[in-house]
Amino acid sequence: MSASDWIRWVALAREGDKDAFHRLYCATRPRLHNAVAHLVPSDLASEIVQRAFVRSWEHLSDLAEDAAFGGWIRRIAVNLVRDHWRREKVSVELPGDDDPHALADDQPDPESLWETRWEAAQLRQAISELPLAFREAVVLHYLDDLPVEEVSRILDVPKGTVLSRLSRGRARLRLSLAALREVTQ
Amino acid sequence: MNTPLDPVESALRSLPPLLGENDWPDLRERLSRRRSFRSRLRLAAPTFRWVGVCLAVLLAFGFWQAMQGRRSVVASESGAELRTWLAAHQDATISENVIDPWAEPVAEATK
Repeated sequence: MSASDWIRWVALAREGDKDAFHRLYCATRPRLHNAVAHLVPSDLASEIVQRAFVRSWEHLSDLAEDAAFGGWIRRIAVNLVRDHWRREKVSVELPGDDDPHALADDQPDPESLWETRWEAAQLRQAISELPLAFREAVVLHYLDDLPVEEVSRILDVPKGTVLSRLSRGRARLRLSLAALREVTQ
Repeated sequence: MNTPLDPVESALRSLPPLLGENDWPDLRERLSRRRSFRSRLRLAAPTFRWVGVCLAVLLAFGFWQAMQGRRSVVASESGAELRTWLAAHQDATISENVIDPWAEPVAEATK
């Protein structure tokens, strides 16, 4: 889909054209759902995605760059996810650098970890156990396939912070997956 | 030379996506209950118009009041100036009849 399509549909939707908004919904919903489903419990993902679209419909006039609708609605969804976890009283604070679970990225991986392919369910579980700040970066970059620059815009943090969170997120995943494999073997 | 991809990274990238289900009817229903910014603006337009008209009337009334006040000040100032001038003129004509050419004949006639 070209940038001109986005611009046209956003402009029409802003005028109240629901068919144009439907096109935007169809074009962005699947990937948005994939990202949100890895940030909240799966039964809540659809509700948060729907609410993100409702909010975007109400605030389309605030969208500065029509072609950036995809990034904008992700930012809305991430804020809704954060609201959810705040209500659940789950800390979104980052663990400190001295956190024993934060393995350095260049630490040698347990040899046995790479011998078999992980099951998707195990990987999803490991992702769900990441602190939210790491999970946001990992999900948007690796699962949603967004470049680091776009992730930094969506999360409103510097690019270096995103890279650091990705690195620490990967290290934690490596550790979690090793632990999961020990349990399942 | 290509660096080997981090196994965690490649596993993440190959994770099958959770696409969920398209529920446009539900979203459409939610959108119908809420209104877009422009339609809300359209609905609020008469209220905005009334507020605008009221503000304009208040502004015009305030301006008119200010002008009235200014006019009365000018009038009172003008009256005071006129009275002062008349008094000064009378004093001057009595003490210096040169100023009033009729003052001397009048004074002689009244002797």
